[in-house]
Amino acid sequence: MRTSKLKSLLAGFLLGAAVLTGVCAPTASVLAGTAQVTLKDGTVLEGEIVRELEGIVWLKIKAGRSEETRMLTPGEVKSIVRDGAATKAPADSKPAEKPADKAIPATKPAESPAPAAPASEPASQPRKSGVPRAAVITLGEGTDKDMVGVYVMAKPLNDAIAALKADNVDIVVFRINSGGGAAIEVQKLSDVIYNEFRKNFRTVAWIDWAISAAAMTSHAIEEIYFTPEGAYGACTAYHGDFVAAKDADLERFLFQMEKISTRGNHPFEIMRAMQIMAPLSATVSPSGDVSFYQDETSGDILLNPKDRVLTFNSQSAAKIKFSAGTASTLDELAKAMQLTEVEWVGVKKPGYMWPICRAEQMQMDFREKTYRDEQLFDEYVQTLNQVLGMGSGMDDERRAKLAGKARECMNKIVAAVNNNPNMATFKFGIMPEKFREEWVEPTEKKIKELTKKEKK
Amino acid sequence: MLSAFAGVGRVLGMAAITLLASLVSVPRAVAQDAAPTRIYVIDLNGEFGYDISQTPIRQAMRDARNQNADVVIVKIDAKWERDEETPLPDTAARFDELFRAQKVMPIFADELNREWAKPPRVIMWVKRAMGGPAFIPFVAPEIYFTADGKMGGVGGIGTMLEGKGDEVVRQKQYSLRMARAEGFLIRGGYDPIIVRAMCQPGFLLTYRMEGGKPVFFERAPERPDEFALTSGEKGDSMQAIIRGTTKSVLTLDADTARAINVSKGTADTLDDLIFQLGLSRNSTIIEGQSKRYQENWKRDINNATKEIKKILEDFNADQSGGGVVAGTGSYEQRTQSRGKQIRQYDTIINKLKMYEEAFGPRWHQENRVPSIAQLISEREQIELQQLIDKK
Repeated sequence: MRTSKLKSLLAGFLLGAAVLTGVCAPTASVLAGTAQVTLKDGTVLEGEIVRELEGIVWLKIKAGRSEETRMLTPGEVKSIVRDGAATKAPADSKPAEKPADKAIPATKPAESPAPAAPASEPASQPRKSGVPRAAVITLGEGTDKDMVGVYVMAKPLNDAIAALKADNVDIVVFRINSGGGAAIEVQKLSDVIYNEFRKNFRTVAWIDWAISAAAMTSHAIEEIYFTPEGAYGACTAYHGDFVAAKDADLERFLFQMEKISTRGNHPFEIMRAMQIMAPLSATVSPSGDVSFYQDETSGDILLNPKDRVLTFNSQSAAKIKFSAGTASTLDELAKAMQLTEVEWVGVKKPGYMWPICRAEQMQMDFREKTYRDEQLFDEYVQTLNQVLGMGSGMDDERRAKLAGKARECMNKIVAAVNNNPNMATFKFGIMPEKFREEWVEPTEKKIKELTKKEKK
Repeated sequence: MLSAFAGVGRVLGMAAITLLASLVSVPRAVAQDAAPTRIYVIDLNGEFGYDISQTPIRQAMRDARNQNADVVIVKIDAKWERDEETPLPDTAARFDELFRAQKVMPIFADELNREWAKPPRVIMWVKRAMGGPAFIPFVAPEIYFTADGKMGGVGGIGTMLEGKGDEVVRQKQYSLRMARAEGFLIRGGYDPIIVRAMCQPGFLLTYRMEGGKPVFFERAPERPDEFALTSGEKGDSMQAIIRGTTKSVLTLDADTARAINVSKGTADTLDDLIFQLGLSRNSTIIEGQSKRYQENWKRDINNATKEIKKILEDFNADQSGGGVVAGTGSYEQRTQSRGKQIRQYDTIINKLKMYEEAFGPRWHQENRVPSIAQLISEREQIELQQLIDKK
């Protein structure tokens, strides 16, 4: 994750905003009904069941003045009392070793509600009875199009939710392939994943390459799988030539990730060891519980020596149950997720391991447009500036030509920012909402001046 | 007439096909029942990232798939030299070529699942896999070496960023790199600790055999049946560097690789290898297009390099008075000259985009070719000059 001074400031701003957005709003697929849920560790939770899917329960719990929605897997739940009537946890959700203890029953219960499709967007494919529908959405696609904040953004993810609902999707698999990016986008991504995706879908991360901001983004997801070559971590914030975030900036990043760790139900010590040189060891008890220690020796497994920064590979992640399983293909993933049947939504295309659903096509289109714009953005700006400085001493005809060229460049820049508002921040240091006022309007004024007829 | 000719043609055609088949398919032996195992061989030689690149390799693998190969043998013999007369030492720390190798590795990993109905058995046969190529064999579960084979040259973890920025950021960079490299070993079924010893100077690694399998320890040997794979030192003596006996990082040779079960065997010829694979009794070598793809690729990028350099030389000649430049000659001459220059810029830019995978930063530096962004900018300047030019 790279930060500039401006980006650090922005990250701080967004961190403050996150406290507010952490309050959960009811979603369209709310199931009304209070319940008392007893967990296998004896904890009793009371709240409102807002959603159920394949044995997973989303329970809205009051915590002080705020509310939090927790996703409880069958492996965690012992019994549920609904409005006075007790139900046992699904029989096939035995307290098995992980990955099974994060797993869910394979067949979708007939009464499980599907997210309602908006009336204007009919479901594109009919649902097979009792078979969950899953979609793969990529966050990043490798070295050229992988930067968080440029190619991985909350906006296109948010835009995709309606398409997923229209396609009657139950499970969203985020396939992560990003080497990180800008701190300013992490909170926005975390918010859309936590507040929208996790409330509407069983949300899963399938990690191929989740480094820095990409790992911090994925951290809001509880159910995580790896590819065999998967890597996750190295979340140290820095800017410029490897200058680390320090003092208050660093503390803000650490605090931000403590809160996001809670969202993902991950021990905060893991992310801390990924952000700074903090030792971490762990012990897995015979019953499968994992205890973490912020030193090198208390745990049986040394995860991170004191002078290093932690990045998991698929083996180390599985060893301490951060990963629920390792899968290199969709079939292996479905198996790891304990889905005996699953319908992968989308169109099969050559060269892709998974069908491309509409929501995924939106991400791909967004990245492609951003990529094209990014290639030429500096050129648009350079040409624009040059043209604006060339008018002096020229006749009206040539000034009109230059104004035409300037307008052409400006329109391309505006279109690029409309597609990807962060371009305003990264390229001009302007907050997207101020872009029109601080850049477009002054530029329009300069172009108008260029077309003014010279006094003779 | 037409049908008689067609009939003759068909007979001749069939004969030709039969003859061709006898040329392209060399049966080694025919078992009575089973169809022979079809073996496809890909030779990767030349400079890694330039000659050895994903486009011709992918073409070859698709050819192998189209020819129903059961087994694909990938022989790696990449250049490892500073210049034509000076070989690089084993300790040359080229870890970051991993990111170039990453463009090649999926062809032998994910793409097998994606593009093959029945993925083939992929055999990596190592002669010289130093630098980026050292990572590639690990994605396959079966590696063989030639007797003089070597795999390594990927040190630098813990040292490559010394003196740059803050320590915690350097550690971040080392950490993410190691995790990625380890991931490829995990994929191929190898112990990821091996690559740590290959990449991190000062990492002390010892092994002993237990039940036919190596067991690794991050310490010095403590028993007679334990063997050190690395010295635990951060550097090596000049004598060791010259003699190729360095130990600060692990360089796998045929014996060491065999000892720790990275290599399944040592073979100097294709026949030897096929014998060791257990395929000598009933297999066929497919004479595929692999060699042609590799040669065409080398020819095309060399031609593109020459063409780009020639155009740039012409530009320079124009600048130094050899041709019409902006501001000289008549309006028509200037327009014509700019039109020609823009077309030439387009030619260069298109070539650079077409062969982008081979034309990395080092190529640009060595050939003094500006980046695409700079060329686009220069091209734009000419268009602007034309815009404001007057008759």
